[in-house]
Amino acid sequence: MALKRIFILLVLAIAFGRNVAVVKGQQTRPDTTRVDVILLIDCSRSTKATDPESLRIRAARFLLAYLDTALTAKGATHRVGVANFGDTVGKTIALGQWPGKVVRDSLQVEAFHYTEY
Amino acid sequence: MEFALKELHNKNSFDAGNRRAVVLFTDGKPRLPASEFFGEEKQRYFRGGPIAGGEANYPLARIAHELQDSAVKLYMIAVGDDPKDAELWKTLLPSYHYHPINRTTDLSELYRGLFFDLLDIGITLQKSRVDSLPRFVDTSQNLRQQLCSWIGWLILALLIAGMLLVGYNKVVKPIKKIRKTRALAFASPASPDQWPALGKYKKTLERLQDLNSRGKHRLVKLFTYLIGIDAIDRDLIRWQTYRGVAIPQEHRKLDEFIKLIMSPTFDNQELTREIRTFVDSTKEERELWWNLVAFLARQPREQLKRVAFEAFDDAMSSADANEQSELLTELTYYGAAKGFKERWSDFISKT
Repeated sequence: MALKRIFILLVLAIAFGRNVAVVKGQQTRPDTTRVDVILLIDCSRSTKATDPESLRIRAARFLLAYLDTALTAKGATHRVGVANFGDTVGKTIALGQWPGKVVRDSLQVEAFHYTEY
Repeated sequence: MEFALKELHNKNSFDAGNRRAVVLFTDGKPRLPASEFFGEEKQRYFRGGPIAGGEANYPLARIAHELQDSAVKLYMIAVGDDPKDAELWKTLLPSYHYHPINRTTDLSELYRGLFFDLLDIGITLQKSRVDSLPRFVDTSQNLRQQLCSWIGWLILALLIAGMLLVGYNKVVKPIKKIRKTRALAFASPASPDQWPALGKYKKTLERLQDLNSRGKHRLVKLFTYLIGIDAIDRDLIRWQTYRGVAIPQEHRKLDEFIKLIMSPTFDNQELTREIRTFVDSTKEERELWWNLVAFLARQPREQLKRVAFEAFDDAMSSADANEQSELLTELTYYGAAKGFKERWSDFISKT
């Protein structure tokens, strides 16, 4: 009787195990999702006071790294564009499929007087 | 932001149906050279009202709406922002797209939520009551996965628990019981109180002997190890010794025979002689005789079987038909019928 119960539980565990594997498989299966992300970095003078440690640059680099990893893992393709801005647009990287490291390394602080979004 | 809008248009992002996001990293503080930029002027800036002293309107609200109307998700990562500015920004984008940060350690969770939101993977955002940091809670598509995963784990845990329970009931508990019985049977000094425990333990030893005779040596070795027996034979001798002391008076004579049998240098002739003298007229003694003969017949050693059969032959030759039938019935009862039936058939055919 006990063996019969164990057998039933084993069958259920295998069934659910397969179910989980299928769901996980669906999650990691390459799909056709394409993502375009543009990062706008405020480089106006006010940020010298509000963000003296350039936290926003580090945050932007981390976001690029995160998206690169997460989207690649999901099998999605993505393009990235970057623009520094103050009262005008500064250095930019056009929207495209750039190596993550290239874009991350290009993120630098510039100096503008004013801020016009 | 106009740059972002143009770039998305120029790179055919809209036509290709891509998922789109614009992420602003800023302190959220607009500052223009032309005028004092506070109060009403700032309100107009965020509402898209007319520029002071000019005819055109401030473009921010228009672009922000155009982006979002075109399914571009507009996120803001605000560093060192002013709460008043934050309120103005939240009129332009959903409040759950506005993320104030003051340390990089919050970013991992924030970006996780942003990633799921960007791909519409069933995420809602709520404020943590504890630290008022934004927290992301999975709501839809991950639910099934999590549920299945939990049920799978639960069943696995139940399965392991069931196996442990069965293992405990089928192996550990009986072994513990046998160990306890053995300890009771071999308690020192031996006394008649040990008789029931000795009887029970004998059955265990007989089962082990039976397994051994069927060639299941490894299983026997495992059981003897678990029970704590050095060797079955040694335990059998010990059993005989204890039984010799603990045995009730009416079984003492039988015990003498068993001691004789277990002796490594026992003599067939002597044993046969003893068995002959043992057969008497009282019912109790006859029962002991049958018991002894049946016991001998069950032993794997051929010598003992021969003694049993000779004793049987002796008894049969001196018995009448009724007694023969009674003998065989009793031996059947004592579990040694097979060999004796054949022997009885031979006996009948000879006579």
